[in-house]
Parts: sequence; structure tokens; C-alpha cells
Amino acid sequence: MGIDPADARAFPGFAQLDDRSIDDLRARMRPVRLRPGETLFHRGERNASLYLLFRGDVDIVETDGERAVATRRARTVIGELGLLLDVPRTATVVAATDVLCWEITQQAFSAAIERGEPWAARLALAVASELAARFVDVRSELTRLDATNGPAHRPAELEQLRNRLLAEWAF
Amino acid sequence: MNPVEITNHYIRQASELMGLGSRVELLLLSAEAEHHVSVPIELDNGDVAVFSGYRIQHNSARGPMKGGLRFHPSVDADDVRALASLMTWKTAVVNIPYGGAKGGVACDPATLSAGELERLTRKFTQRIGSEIGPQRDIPAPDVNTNAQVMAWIMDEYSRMHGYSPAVVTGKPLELQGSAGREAATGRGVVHVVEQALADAGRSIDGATIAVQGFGNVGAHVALLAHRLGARIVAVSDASGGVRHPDGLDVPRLFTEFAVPRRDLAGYEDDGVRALSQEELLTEDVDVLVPAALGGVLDEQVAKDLRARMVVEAANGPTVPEADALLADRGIPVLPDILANAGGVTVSYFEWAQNIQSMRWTEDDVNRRLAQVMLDSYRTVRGLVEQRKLTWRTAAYVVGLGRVAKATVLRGV
Repeated sequence: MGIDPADARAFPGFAQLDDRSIDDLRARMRPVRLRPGETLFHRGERNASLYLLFRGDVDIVETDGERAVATRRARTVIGELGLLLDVPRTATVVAATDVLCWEITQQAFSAAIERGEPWAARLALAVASELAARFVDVRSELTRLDATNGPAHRPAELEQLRNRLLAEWAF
Repeated sequence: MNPVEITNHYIRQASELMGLGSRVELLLLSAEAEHHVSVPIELDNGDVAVFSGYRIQHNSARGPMKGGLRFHPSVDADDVRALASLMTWKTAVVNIPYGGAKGGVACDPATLSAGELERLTRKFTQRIGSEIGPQRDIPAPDVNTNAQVMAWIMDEYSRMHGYSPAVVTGKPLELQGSAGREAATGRGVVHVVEQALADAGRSIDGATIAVQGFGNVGAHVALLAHRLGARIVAVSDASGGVRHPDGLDVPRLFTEFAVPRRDLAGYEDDGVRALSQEELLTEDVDVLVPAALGGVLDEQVAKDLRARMVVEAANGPTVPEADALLADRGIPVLPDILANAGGVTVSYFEWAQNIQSMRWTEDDVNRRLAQVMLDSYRTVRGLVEQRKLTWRTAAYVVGLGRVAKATVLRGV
């Protein structure tokens, strides 16, 4: 089953790739098709591939059989932590619809980077952008939690208030 | 504005001035605990009646909580909550080692027999018996409660916890009550009047005073000020008022109309004319002493007021709009939390005598009361002068400041 060059160019960052680069990309990748409910990989699995989701939606679940904690839609990357860190899969990914994605193994990705294939640099950038966006979300969530659940006054503030009251309002 | 909103309005004003911040402010405005209990009793006719009782404990940062207990049909949580908070600031203004609380039972004591009132008091004491105590919360007499009611509370509490006279104040003298407590609130008011007049370059001897209210507080204000040479030119109660431009015969009024409670409208004497409540509040006098209900000094009265100063013997007699207007007119208003704190001060003396199993003479009590009132007056005056504040704002700053300091020193 071949990979359609038009599909490839629809992926973020790949629009400007020339035909040669698209050919490189197609040579390194293997298409994976899933029916709704089929699993791409399980939490805890040692699998260092990265997937480009071209069509359909997948659910991210923390433990097999539990409800989804997040949904990823077409034209995003999946499994980037497995590619970057040598850790088991942190979540299970299940197809929510009919899904088409392309798999690239860690070895193939490393080889493409070594050889300076343009698509690999672009993909690395796409993964970095995705991680940066998630970092921003997490940081704002932490700030929000701190504001709602934080102590009435941080110790430093109480201490300041105490010193100021005793100094300025002596009676 | 209801009483809670009025109190909180003044507190926020002081808090903003001191820069306490909204979270510390919220902490200081919130009651520590609100006890709402049902009080069932058997009536004399054999029926069962169930009353609503409250004890709201506002703040204990500076010590055990202190405040009155009232029996009145209008008692509800809002009312009691505001009065509890007021006690926190009042005990702090006069710097006695207490926090603030207040309580009451929603009932009309006029419709209850002595036996029913006793059963009601004892049952209520059982209900809140684990929440009060000499080192926790110490009730005192208030509207429609008296030394006898305090004696029942002391007895019922002592059955639960062993002999504990210090659990309530305002007890009969025979049961470890304190000399001088009856007149204490009025005496404290007169100390403030005397000092404020002295600061204005006047002596209380020869000053003219109008007193609204001739209950325990108003009658003692009139009597004690009269003894110091003041001319009490007008007094009133719910039935109406009487005036005499050269000064009323206060000792006669006291023995005939205050000791056995009688309507002042029935008083007649040479040169005495009747006057209405409104006329009394706008009399041309050196000092106006509202000593009855809250909210009587409204905007209209504040416009028409002719007194040179107002000393609040009642709780909350001045509405905030009138307060602002009087400030603009340059008429000082010596606020309730300072002026009428003599009562709770002598309550503190009673408690102090009880926990030491000591008895002070009336002279001891009065001397110490004068000292506390004078010290508090001077502390507030210091802020009025240094920071150009109204007397009320300055008093709230002192009260709030002391509670805030105790809170941050102890730790949240």
C-alpha cells in the first residue's frame, strides 16, 4: 500500500517539501490502518516508533479500558515521547474512528536525521512545537491551581504584614 | 444596609486604610463558629414549644470570646452575627483580653412565665454547654436577660462541668457578680463625654446634654453626668420625652422612672415640657447621647442636628450616610465600640475576680474602669490627630489592628 504524496504535503510543515524529499519520506514510512476500537499501542509497551496521524481521531487512555483523557485529531504526531525518551509507553492509544497513520521507527528517523533529509528536520520541528504548546498549557494550569488552592497568604506575605502592622500601627 | 453590612462597611474602611489585603480581611470578617440549636420546653399548660437559639462565636484571636445573650422575637442569625463581630472590635478597642461572640433565643419573654423562662434558659444552656466556658466563650446579659438568667446559666453549666462562676458575667452580687457592673456602661460613656469635652476646652460641669433612652444605660449616663455638674436638658424613652432648659431633676427621674420602670411621658414638674424623639435628637446641646435603639440618627437627623458632639451609648445608632454627613459638618461622633465598652470592661473585671476567687470593692472597679476608658480614648484620639481620621474610623483601626496583629503573631 503506497503513501499518497498529496496526503504527505497536507501534514503541517511538509507543504514546502520537494518531490525528492517526499519520496525519501515515503520510503522511510509504513502506513498503519485501524478500525474504530483497535489499539495502536498499549501503555507500558517498549515501542519507540513515532506516528503521523493523517486521517481519523485517536483516544489517549491512561489505562486499558478506561475512558479517554484526551483525543488527538488528524495531522498531529503521536508517540513522540517514545521516540525522544527511552521509556515505556505512558498511555494506550485507541482508534476512535477509521484511522490512517504512518509509522516511522526510531532507527529510520535517526538515519534520516544523519543523512540530512529535509522532512526529518521538519518533523523534528513539528514535534518540538507540539511539546512546547503542551508545556504552555501545563504551566497555565499549574498557575490556576496555585491560585485556587494556594494558602490564604504565603508565609512571606504574612511575615511582611506582621512586620508592617507592628511598625506602622503601634498602639 | 442591615447591621452586618453596616459593621462590615466600617471594617472594610479600616482594613483598606491599613492595607490588610482581601484574604486577611475575609479571615477577620468570618465567624469562627455559628451554633444554631433548637430549644424545646414544656409550657405551663402542658404544651411543648420549640424555640430557635443561637450562639455565634466571631473571633478568639485575642482570648476567650465574650458577648451578650438576648431573648427577643427579632433574634436571627444575621442580627447575632453582626453583634458578635461588633464585640470582637469592642473588646479590642478597650484592650481587654477577649474575642467576640453573641447569642440569643428567638422568643417573647413577656409571654413566658418565670418557670417557662427558667426552663428555656436551662435547656438553651444544655444545648450550648460544650461550646461556652470560662476559657472559651463567656455570655452576659443583653436585651431581656438579666442577673437571674445568668444565675440559671451558671447553675446549669456548673452541673455539667463543676462549679464555674466565670462562665457568665452580670451575675447577682450574691453569686460572684461584680460591684459596679449595673452602672458600668453608663459610667464608661460619661468618662468619654467628660474627656471629649475637656479636649474641646470645656468642663462637663455646666455642659448641656440630651439623652435619648432612659433604660439602664441612658438613666446612668444622665445620673452620673448630673453628679458631675452637667445640665441634662432633655431625656426620652419610647413613650416620649421631657425637657427643661436649666436641666432636669435627674435624681428624681432616676428613682421614680428608671428604678421602677415607668413611662417618662407621665413625668411632670415646674418648667418641664414634653418633646418628641425627633426634637430631642436635634436639641441645641453640647452633647447628644443616643442610648436606645440602632439607626435613629439618619440622614435627615444628621442635617438638622445641632449638638456639638455625639457620643454613642447605644449600639449602631448612626447610619453610615449620617456618619459621613456629620463628618463633613465637623461634628465628632464618638463611636459605640469605644463609648459603650464600659459594660464589657466591668464584665471582664467580674470574670477576672471569679477566676481568682477574689472580690474587688466598687471603688476598685470604678477606678480601673476609668483607667481603661481613658487609655482607650487616648489611643483612638492619637490616631484621629495623627492620621486625620474620624473617631469611628480610628476606633475601628485600633480594634481591627489589635485583632490582626494577634492573628498574624499566632499564625493563621
